[in-house]
Amino acid sequence: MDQTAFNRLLSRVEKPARYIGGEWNSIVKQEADIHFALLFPDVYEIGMSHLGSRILYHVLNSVEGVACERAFAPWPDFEQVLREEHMPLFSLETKRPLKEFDIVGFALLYEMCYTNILQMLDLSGIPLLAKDRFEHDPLIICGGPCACNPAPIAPFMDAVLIGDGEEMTPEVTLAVRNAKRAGKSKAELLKELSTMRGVYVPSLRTEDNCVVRRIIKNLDTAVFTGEPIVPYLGIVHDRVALEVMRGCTRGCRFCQAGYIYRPIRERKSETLMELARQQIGCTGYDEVSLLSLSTGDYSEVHKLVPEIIREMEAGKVSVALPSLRVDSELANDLSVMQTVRKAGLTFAPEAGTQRLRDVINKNVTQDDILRATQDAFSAGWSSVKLYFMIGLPTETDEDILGIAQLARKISWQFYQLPKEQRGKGLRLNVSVSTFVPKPFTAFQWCGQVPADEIKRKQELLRNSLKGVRGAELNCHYSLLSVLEAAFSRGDERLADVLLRAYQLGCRFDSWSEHFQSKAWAQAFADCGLSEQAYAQREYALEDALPWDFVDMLVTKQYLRREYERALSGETTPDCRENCNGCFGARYETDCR
Amino acid sequence: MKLIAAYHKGQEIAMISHLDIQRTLQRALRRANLPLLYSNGFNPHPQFSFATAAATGMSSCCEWFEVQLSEEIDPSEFMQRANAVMPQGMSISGAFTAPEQFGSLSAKLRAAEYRVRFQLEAPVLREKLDETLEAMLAGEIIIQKRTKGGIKPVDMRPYILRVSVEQVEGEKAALRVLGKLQADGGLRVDALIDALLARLDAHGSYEIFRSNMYFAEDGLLPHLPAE
Repeated sequence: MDQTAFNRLLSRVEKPARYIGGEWNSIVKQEADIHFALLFPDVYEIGMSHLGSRILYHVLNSVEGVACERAFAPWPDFEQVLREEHMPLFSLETKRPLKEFDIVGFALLYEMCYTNILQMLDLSGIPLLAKDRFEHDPLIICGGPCACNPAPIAPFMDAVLIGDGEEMTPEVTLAVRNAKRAGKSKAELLKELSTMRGVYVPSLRTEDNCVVRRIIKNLDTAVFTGEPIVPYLGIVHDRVALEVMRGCTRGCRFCQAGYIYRPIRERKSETLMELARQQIGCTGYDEVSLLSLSTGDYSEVHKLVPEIIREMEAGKVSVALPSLRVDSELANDLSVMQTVRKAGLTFAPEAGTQRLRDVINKNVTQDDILRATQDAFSAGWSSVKLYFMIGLPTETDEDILGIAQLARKISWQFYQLPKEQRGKGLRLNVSVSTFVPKPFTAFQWCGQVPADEIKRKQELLRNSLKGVRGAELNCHYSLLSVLEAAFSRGDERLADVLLRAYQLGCRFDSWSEHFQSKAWAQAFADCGLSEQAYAQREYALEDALPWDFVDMLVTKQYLRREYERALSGETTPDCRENCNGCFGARYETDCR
Repeated sequence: MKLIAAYHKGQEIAMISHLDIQRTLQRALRRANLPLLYSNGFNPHPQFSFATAAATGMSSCCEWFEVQLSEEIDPSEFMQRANAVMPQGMSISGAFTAPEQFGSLSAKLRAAEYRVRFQLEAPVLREKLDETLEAMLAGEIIIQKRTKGGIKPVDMRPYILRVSVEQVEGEKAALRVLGKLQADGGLRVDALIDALLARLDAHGSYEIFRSNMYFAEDGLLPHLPAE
């Protein structure tokens, strides 16, 4: 299709720039032995913000003979254009139909993108189920955090890559190239792939096989994003993102990322400074963001943060520090430099009472929070955001009331200050989400609290926050968290539900304007299943779990111990103080 | 110093919005390490201003803009360095140093010339196109313009300086349009073309290319010969 005709099609959609490609630093290889389509099952602005995909794009294109191209889920307006024109979904780089690629790989970041996997396959003319595909169809693979429980999406996949992708993805790609050269069948290829650490081949699953998560041991020497693409369109995270470290040592018991990215691995401060210079230079971005699960725990934080702010400032580049707990030393560094805008402060106590915070091992005390807010208010801040979850295991009404009490104390603190010493008016945002139990956490056995009970707790909180000056409650009930719970701990029967939901028109489920709760309810009903039952399912400690055949390195025994400690309100210290033995003996060397 | 330059917006980036183009240009000039002058304050940004916006869908070879620089730089070096780091379809096609008291481009802007290429669903005869156009230009051309106060009828005729048929070949046709374009308003080429298609009772699609931008006469920027 020539450019004129293509532009004519694009003139029918809201944001044509999502589909044109050609961005600065995008890589177009005319010739390649193997074509890899890297897919993100959500819209361009979300997918391009995903750091992992950017790493893989660079890693794969660095391999000689491999061409990696991107595709994102077409927004419903463009899906309609594609269908009307009988045009297959194509890659951004060469506009090649996805069906013509050797490998199609999906990044799975959240459960509610699953219907878009089906949408993208369907629009490519690729049979959705692995068993219906032919020898000449691309190899369909996926990876990302959701892959740790592959059951609900396994029937659609030829292979699932579990763990860090930097080394595993090119290995799989080269194996596909070799098989292609040698004229091997897909069955032979899959057999070979199934022997690689981290690769799960659903069609070859047996009762006793086990897939061990892949990790890269040294993050400092690991490849990063090379020369990152600079999108035309404003994307969600439109800046240079530097991964400071992978993993977290805090051990919050609800946090899947905290368990599945262990052990903690850091990049050296010098490496990060060098990356910042190189990436700013080749993109022209004016902002750098330091990413990790908890940047405040980075061992060189006091060296890196002031240094990077100072150096970047000279080139008019600002530095964003998400997930940073500002301690007093750092606050000093920052205030001296005067470069920090007084944007809102964010705290995540997660639970309203010390008892419940001990249960979830969120090792932050009310005093910690009050000390920080006191400092912040005295320094002129007037906007604070607090994150909580409701529906946590062992939660009682007292814990809900505790949220309001904490908010009341913070509000009181602010209005206690003399008028001339504080900001104008307090904005205390209390943001409350519904707890979703996840596989490979200490709470993987727990069911989600039923919808009616969640609604009652929300109402209780709403009432108890009345009269707290400046407080604003941000919480709503959504079936979305029920579906998230169902799919995160789901089994293979949910693949049928996914298919049905897709047929009923579900896609872009995490977008409220597209979420179709009735269609979802019908999809479950049509399959003779219940989303509430899946979400509320409680497992006994000795039950077999649908994700038991995946070894994420943290042992089930350890999770069980953590669960038991949670129930008795016993905390577990940060593992940098003392090894808690979460990998057991078998993979101990992956940590040390 | 203030530098006046024009960028080229190729067909491959025609579908990009003006806002995205502005950001793209800004980032390219940062990559080129050009001495951009930044505004003060917590959120310093380079100081650009554009003669006019390039509409989504339109390509162009003459989008004039001005940029403030903190150091003297030779315009040809500016072009060279910028063009080395431009994404596909975008390039700087001309640049010069603005003299003192130059004033703003948007205040000087007077007119623009466009080429419109049609792809119609059925063939059209040259005579019919000429006649329809002539009849249309003889009276008012009312279009519905969206303004802050709601949708309002506006006569486009006073903004049209010249329209000529360049080529007709079966379903394909090309027009050349010269229209007024100033800070306070100008010819909406797409609206004009829609009106023409309606009078022709023809259906199809078209592409607009801005081939020239004309400014008040002062010797440095292109201006209308007749002015």
